Amino acid sequence: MAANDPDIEKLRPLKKECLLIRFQQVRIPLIIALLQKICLLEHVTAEFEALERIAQNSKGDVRSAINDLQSLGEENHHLSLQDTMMLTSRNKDTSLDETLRRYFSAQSIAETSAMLAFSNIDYDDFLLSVSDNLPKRYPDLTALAKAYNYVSKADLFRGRIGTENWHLLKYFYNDLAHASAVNPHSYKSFTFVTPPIRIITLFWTKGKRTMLDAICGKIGAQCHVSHKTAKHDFVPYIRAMLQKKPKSPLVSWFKFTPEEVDFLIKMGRY
Amino acid sequence: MTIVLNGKGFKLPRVEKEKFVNLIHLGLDYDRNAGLFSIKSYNNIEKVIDTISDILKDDVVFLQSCIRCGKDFSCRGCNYLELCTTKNLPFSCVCSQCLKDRKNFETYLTQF
Repeated sequence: MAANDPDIEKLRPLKKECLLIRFQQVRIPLIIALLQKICLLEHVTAEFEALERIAQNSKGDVRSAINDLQSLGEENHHLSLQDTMMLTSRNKDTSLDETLRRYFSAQSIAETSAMLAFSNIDYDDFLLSVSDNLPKRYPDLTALAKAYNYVSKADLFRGRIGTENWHLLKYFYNDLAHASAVNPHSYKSFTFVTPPIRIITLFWTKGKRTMLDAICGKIGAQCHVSHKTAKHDFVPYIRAMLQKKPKSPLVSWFKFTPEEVDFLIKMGRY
Repeated sequence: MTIVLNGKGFKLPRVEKEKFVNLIHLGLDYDRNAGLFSIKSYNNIEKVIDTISDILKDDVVFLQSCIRCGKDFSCRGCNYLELCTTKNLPFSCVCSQCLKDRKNFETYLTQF
């Protein structure tokens, strides 16, 4: 089975049973070699530069390179560089990991801007990942402060964009590009923190949050209050009462399960 | 300075247990008899390189293996280095001599 994103929720149970093999982009020399082979077998005389251009435009996509070769060389079985001038570069999405790698190793603001414009990753995930990884990228505190300043401005624009003001996206990209190029020559490779720490924390605390939500639901049903009110105004007092007397009549009145009582007694910060 | 390694087998200085386990988890294999590490899984290859760079305290690049002549060669001097998304990673490729050598190419094709 092939998947663009093996980490999505619906593939998680299947992923446990599978051996994961990551496919990389096919390298340009390998595509040229394949095109040479096809040309030889199909009796097409092609200039090396023409094949080189097709391979470069394909961005590692063998199928598109073969399609281009077929469309250009099928008619007269000859392919020159001039024939390939009409070809344009294929658009290709990049993953979060690859985008981060290219983002942090960029040598100029222009390079980062161009890279971000072609990327199709989630803006919020990318912003969180950038802010988590900045301390690894800039060990120097002055540069780090400067970079965080740009990231905070980018975050501001992300908030203003919301779901409709997409004309502000260029300012979001611009500030992120500035953050990547505070000190371009100081780049040394490092291991990225992905997914963002906030998402990891939410993942790890999901069980606790579900349990607390169920408790708040029971309190809400008995006391006719919202989950939010139950969480903020009731839970601290119920917890204090249960800590003093675990077998309080409250337990049966709220219909708490023994696990919920145990959770309330032991719970710390929420 | 950049350290050039061959993915088929390379030596590393003695590392702590935690780092060794991490390397194995990331997809390296260790031959106890020869004392050589080799790459078993390429799924986390970028992380492997970062970890090895961290151990050797220097930048690390891997040699490529030519699918035509079988030689190991470096990415340095490749015309497509700027466009390559897998540069310096230990994968198969075609060396620049084989790519332009028509005679060698026809010999290679006769193998199939």
